[in-house]
Amino acid sequence: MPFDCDTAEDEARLLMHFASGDRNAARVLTQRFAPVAFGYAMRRLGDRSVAEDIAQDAMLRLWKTAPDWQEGRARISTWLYQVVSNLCTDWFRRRKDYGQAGDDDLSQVVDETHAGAEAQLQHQARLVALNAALMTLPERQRLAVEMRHIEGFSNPEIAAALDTRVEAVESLTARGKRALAKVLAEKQDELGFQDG
Amino acid sequence: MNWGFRMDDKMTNPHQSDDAMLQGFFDAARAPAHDAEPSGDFMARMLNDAFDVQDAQAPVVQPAARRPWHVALLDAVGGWPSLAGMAVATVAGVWIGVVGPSALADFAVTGTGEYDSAALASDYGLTSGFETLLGGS
Repeated sequence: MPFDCDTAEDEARLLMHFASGDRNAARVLTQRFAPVAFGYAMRRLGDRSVAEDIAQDAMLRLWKTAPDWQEGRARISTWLYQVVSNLCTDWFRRRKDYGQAGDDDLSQVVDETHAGAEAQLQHQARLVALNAALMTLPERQRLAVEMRHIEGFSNPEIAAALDTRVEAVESLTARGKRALAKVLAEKQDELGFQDG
Repeated sequence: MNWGFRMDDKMTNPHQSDDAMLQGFFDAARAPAHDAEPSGDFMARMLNDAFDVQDAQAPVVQPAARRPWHVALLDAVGGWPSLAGMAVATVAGVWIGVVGPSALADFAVTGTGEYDSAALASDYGLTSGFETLLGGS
């Protein structure tokens, strides 16, 4: 039986079939959403191996929640994004606890300047600084900012995912951006980045 | 090295907005990750995980045990109460066949019609009526 996967209703139906043991539903959902989860993780982490582990963990959580999935809930893509984002944040925190991430990574990136690699290093430096700053935000602010400004979800989609109103999403993103700007500006001064 | 923003821009516009600064970070985070296509091995692992979870979540269905023929027969006729009724009927039938109780003889004769209708009427005191009907004028 062919499955569509275009609407929230399609997704809920697919998950219901998955929960009843339908192999075809498992194939359709895997092909549709495993690359999405992996893409989210890769954008956050830039590390293929870790991104695969996190995407795998997120997909397992999706399978386990399938029997309880309710139609009218958030779309799978926004639900997955929240899970991947939280797993990435946990991963960053664990690494930082072991002294392997955060500012150390940024310092290493900055120190490794060499000809021809500056653009890539700048890109990495921004990612590391942004991730470190995002980790300072309360979870819902962080998710709202990430989903709106990095993943490009609409405010209604974010509101559905966070189970809140659109106005609350606007407030969360505004406060989140203000806090991010403050942290990043301080970091910029602290690390003494100079032109060139 | 800097964040990738032109410092001279910032000098000419010292009030560069937070939004503009943040946009640079967001653009970096949105940039397609290098080598972001999932590998075939990864996709195969994801599908195996999905099948494993389905198998673990599937309700445990006990295979139907093969029932002995006599149990199936007993169920087919309605269980022990029905069987007891059938046994009684069978025994009664055999007894009637073998012993031939005299009390049943009359019923048997009546049933086979060996009495003629006049005798039957006489037995029940209807003789005169029958005679009338038979034209005894």
